[in-house]
Amino acid sequence: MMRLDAGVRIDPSNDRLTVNYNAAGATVVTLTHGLYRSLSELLAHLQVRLRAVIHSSMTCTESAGTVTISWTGGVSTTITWTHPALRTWLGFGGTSVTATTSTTASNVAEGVFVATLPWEDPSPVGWQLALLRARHAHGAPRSFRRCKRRRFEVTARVRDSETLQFRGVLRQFLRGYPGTLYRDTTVSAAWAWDEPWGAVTVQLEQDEYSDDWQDARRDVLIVPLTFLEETA
Amino acid sequence: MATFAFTSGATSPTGSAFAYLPMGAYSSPSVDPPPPEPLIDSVTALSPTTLELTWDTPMTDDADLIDAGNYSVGNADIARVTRVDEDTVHLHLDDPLSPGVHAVTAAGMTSTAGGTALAASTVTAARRIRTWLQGSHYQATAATVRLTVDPSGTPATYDWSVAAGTVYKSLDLLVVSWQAALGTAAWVELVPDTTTHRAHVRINTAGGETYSIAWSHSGDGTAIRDRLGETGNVSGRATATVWTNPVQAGWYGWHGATRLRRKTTRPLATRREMLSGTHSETQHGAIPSELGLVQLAMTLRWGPPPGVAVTLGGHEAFDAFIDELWDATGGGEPWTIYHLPDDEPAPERYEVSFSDSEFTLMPRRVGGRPEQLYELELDLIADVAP
Repeated sequence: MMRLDAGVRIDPSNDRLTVNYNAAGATVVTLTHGLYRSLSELLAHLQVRLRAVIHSSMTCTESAGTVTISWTGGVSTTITWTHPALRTWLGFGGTSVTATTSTTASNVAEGVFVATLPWEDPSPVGWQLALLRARHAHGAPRSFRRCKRRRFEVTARVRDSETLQFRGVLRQFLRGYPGTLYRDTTVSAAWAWDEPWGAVTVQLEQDEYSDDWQDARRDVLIVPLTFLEETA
Repeated sequence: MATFAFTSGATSPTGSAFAYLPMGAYSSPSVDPPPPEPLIDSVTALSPTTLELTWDTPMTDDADLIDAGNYSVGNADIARVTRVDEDTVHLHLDDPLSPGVHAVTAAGMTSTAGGTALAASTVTAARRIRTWLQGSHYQATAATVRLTVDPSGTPATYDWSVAAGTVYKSLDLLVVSWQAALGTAAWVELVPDTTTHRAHVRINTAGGETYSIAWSHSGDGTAIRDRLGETGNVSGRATATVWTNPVQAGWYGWHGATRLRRKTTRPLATRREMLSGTHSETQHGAIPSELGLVQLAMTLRWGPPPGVAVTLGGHEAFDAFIDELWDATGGGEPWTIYHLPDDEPAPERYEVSFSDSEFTLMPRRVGGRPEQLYELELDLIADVAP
């Protein structure tokens, strides 16, 4: 199955949480500002920060977009969501949570959509090119390549019940954030010519999209999407 | 008693197998048996334009060995014969060998055992490359490329001078220019590899000597060097070595183009050509020799050859091709499409540019052959079309 992760920018509005590990006192954990292009990238950074500031056993994992923060020792730990935006993005609720070994989010992370229906993929990869043709010095007209980006087209299939989550992810892409297209959730490697089912960092090529009923049953939406590989 | 090993396809055109038995076994022991007649051991197609012929015994006279008049390959024209060693030669053809079985004969040379060759064999040309794309090459600086034959023995030098501003509209044309400078001393060609969708340079010296290349003997020939896939000067390389790195901005497909639509040759006269593997067909009867800017829509088809692992090798090579069209020290546009129908002796050449400045290229899977066959539509403007 395919999966789509929208990226998120960590900035002063969503960069911190407060952790009280084993009654050692509330400690603010601050994330490094920047663009995080997948949930796993964000969790990897969160884990680094928690281990650096709170305890070396702190671990951040996810399963199909549901986040778990865990630690060893069976000690009571309270996480206070100083910045609600970060809490919501990770799929947690409430203002704080107290647990002894781990806490798991009540929702799938806001920027993640894991397909439960097969998505179509009529072409494994293509290219979008932009050329500049100009008369160069006193020679013949020459062409210069302004841009070449790899292009990925997919036709998403979304159940009616999944529409809200899907639109949340697409909303982030439409805002211009890059994200990660997992062409096969069982493949963790990055996309490459010899691993075309790997994950690729992309931007949505469209500035709008439409979702249409697939058939008369009206319980599945089909959404054609075009992504361009993000370039530095 | 001498014994002979008959290899597949190798026979004497002068008689049956009994003709090879030493006559002395059946007649007076006082009569010396004639020297054994050399046999062709094997003939192998190394590329669409090069065959490797090996003898079962070494030959004495190199001049005879590389005399193209001593050989024939079906109806093909043999442009050159080069010696690899005393019992192996390469036959270089003017045009790619058509698919099928071709008779091969050789005569007029003497083996070290004393026999005179008069032998025949066959070669089966496999399905050949049909469509290949090549970038043009713009030589910004004057350069003289020097090829030295037999550098550690009796060196002989051959200079290829390219003026600043020279444009070759394809790699094949660049190689033709170099070949003209080399004359009969050596044979240079691009060897296609349809598994990797690339081509590599191979140089044969006439007598089987090693060779060296100084890319910037004078001026700056590094652009040519890079284009041909080398990274430095060549020193003492064995003849007939296929170079390690592929040439830049070359793409070679297994299936090739399947359709070409000539859109605006002249008002109200669109033309459609089928570019199947076995024949070309034209609709609407446009005048083939009509020149001028021609708008073309070409369908390129690719996929891994049968028996080869399913990969995106064709995509990867095309990705590199559209990078190297501009990134290599080439001319960007126009570039060249060669197409070779099975029923034509020489490839057709289209000198093209992309018709738009912003465009999308999406190779589509062909239904029924998942991951094994892709089609790509190319909208092109041709300056030169057959």
